[in-house]
Amino acid sequence: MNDVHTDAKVDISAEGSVGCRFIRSILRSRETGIALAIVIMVAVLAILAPSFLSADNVSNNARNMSFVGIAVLGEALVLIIGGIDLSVGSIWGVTAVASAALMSYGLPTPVAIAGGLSVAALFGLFNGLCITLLRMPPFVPTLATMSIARATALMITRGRSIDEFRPIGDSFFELGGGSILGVPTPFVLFAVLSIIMWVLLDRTIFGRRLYAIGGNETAARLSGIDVDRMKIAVYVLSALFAGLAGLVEVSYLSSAIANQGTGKELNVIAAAVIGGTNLMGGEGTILGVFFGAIILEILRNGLVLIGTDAYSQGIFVGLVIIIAVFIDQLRKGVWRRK
Amino acid sequence: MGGGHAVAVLLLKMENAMPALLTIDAVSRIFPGVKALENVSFGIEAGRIHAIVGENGAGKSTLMQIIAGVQQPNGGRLLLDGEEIRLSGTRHAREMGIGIVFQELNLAPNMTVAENICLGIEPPRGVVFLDRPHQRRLAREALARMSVDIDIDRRVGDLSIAQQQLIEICKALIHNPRLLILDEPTSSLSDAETAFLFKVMADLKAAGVTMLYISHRMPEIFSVCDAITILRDGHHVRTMALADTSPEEVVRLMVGRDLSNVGRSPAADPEKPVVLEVRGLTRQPSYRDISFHVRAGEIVGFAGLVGAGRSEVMLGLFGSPPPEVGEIRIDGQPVIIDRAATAIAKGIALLPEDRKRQGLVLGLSVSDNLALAALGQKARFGLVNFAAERQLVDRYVKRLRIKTPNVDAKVGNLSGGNQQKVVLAKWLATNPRVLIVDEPTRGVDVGSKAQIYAFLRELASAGLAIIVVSSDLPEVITISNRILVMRDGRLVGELQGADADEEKIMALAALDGAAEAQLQDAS
Repeated sequence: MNDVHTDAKVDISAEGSVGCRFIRSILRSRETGIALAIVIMVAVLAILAPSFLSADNVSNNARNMSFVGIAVLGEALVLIIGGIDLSVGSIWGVTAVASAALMSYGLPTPVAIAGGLSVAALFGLFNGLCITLLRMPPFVPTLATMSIARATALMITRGRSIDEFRPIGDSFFELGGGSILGVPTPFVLFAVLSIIMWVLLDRTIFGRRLYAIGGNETAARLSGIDVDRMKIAVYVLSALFAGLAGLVEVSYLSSAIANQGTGKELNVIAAAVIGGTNLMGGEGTILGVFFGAIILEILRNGLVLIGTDAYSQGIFVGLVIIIAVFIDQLRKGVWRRK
Repeated sequence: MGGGHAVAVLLLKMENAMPALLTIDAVSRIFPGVKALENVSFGIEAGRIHAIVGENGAGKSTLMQIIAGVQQPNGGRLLLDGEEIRLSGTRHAREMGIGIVFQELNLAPNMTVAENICLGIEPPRGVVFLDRPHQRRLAREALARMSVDIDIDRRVGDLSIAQQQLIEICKALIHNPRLLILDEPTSSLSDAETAFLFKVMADLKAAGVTMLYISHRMPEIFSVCDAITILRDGHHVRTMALADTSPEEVVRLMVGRDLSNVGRSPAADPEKPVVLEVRGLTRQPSYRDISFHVRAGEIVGFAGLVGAGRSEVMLGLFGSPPPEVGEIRIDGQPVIIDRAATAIAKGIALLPEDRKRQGLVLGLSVSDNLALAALGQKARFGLVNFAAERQLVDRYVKRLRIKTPNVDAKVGNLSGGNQQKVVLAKWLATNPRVLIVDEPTRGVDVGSKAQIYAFLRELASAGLAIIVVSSDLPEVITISNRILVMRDGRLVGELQGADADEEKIMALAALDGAAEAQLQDAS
């Protein structure tokens, strides 16, 4: 698989039939392994805890995974270009309270949503400008934004929760609490956005260039690609997805508090890593992070259902991260190459 | 400036029957404290392969980067087809028909061959979508034009270096350049791979592409190039047709320094015992079959071009990484050195090539740096013996005349010469039997240079065996009792300090086997 050819010129590799190649590439792909892991986890849990497959539980899981899932879609772009965004949890929170506050002032729902997302986009822009114009390592401005955005959320709420910003039964609550054809709306949103992001990453020139930036930034620059502008766009997108996660959560909870999304940046990054995203950049797929978000939620829910000590959950999440990356390294032959 | 221009015009009239595709007119590039290029003028004829040669630091890379738009000159101008061009960047240069293949590969290893070739010029379908079939067709066509057969769907990271090099050339060719710059394209290729590259270059030339070929290797230059320009210390020395010259003349022009003021070291006393003996040291692909010895009180110089494998051999003696095959004896005893700690314990000290990266912790004090390697010897039960450390530090600061406000000053704030003295002191504090210094005076002022030479001689006369690796030929000649020359990972010659000169060393370092034999017959 990773045989490095040392002979002179040219490798005349057998083309093979297209269909055969396709099947081989599926079997060899990282996503197949992750999907297999999900199947095994579901099978084991179905035996150990029969209620796991009940309609209610499945529906709840689908809803719960969608908040982190939506945020992962943005973080994945950042990780692919070799960056990191630590501020997604706080941007999630500030967007949640900002849009709830705007609604409580009586603004129409679309305006309030646009207002909340604008706040998110501004924080993303701030991250992007610090990283490109000020040449800071991404860890620094996103760490700062993590603190600044959280404080902004606290200033908006003054520590209280914002309730009753919409009458009971308002259409806004459909976004997080409703369902379409029996599927919870947040999951529908998560799935649709995943498809859009898959198209963006896999089918557009913008998306393919993100992989080039993560793989070799100098090469991308020397090829005439405006790397800085693309980086800014990616950090804005990451913030928008985090903000959207917060919005959907507010709709579901019908209440907004300043500490929404606290610590979520770790879940988001964990889901991306479990899904095969390389923190060094250049590698990662939307299908992978989609599965990653699912694994994280099934793990959480499964541990509760089989009666594991709630305090020990973090241990399992940690182990799954290590195992996932280890398997990925095996697949890539990192250890074989020495 | 005006003078340079006149010279350029004159040169063109005299030597070039054909009009120049690119004229370099009085180009200068000055960095703070360094003149990388000064008033360089010459012309490049269309449809030729034009070699650019010079010693390390002659200004070749800077000039190529200016032509490719990576850097802008401080003075002078470039004329393409007789019209002045001002390049704002690589993209602009590319639009003007100038492409460059850098010495280091600039590819995204995680992406496919097709994606790398089309990076930055991906064919769109609609406004935002990528037209994959079109992209693959473009890549396949570009490879076919070079008669190269590489699977366009493979990850570039899985290809051999030679294949990656070809992809780089392909990336440049897809823009249909009229002028293609190849910066040492063969430095990491085998003979067979090099032959293939030359075939590709011949095809390109037949298709009308003009090429600038940067290389150190005379045989290659004389087998593929039509014209040659020699640079020395940032100045243009001569541009001529290759048919009118010989490898020996080119080497002489490359070196061309006045040697009268260079002192010599006599041969070492053959009665003195051999301290370090090395037999058949090999680590592929960096070096093969290296055998030599160093006597007590002897300074042996290692000369050769950058990439000849000198530093790698020295790191091998230091166990980082150790050689695969070969024997090392110290004072006649065979030793096995598998890592730096063993090397230090066996009495070997190495002053590395890159002082800032490998030799010093810039944020720590003079005292901390100086005591770093010897720390273990002064410690008791794992605790630092501060009194002993302070004594040691004071002794060496005095002995080496290290200029520092006090021993607690940060090393990063000292001058280059004094930093180098700290590294030297750090290793002397370990009481070595063998001292290896790699590029001891790079970035060091003249005064400190003389002090470092004097100190090395003093150490040698005290019985140390010393190896000096240096690309600075006058330096090697001045300091060494004996000079060993490396080329392409092998030892290719030995010269006594008294009868070594720059031409003989360069001939061994850069010429092929035939010239080498000739030269040795002559001497």
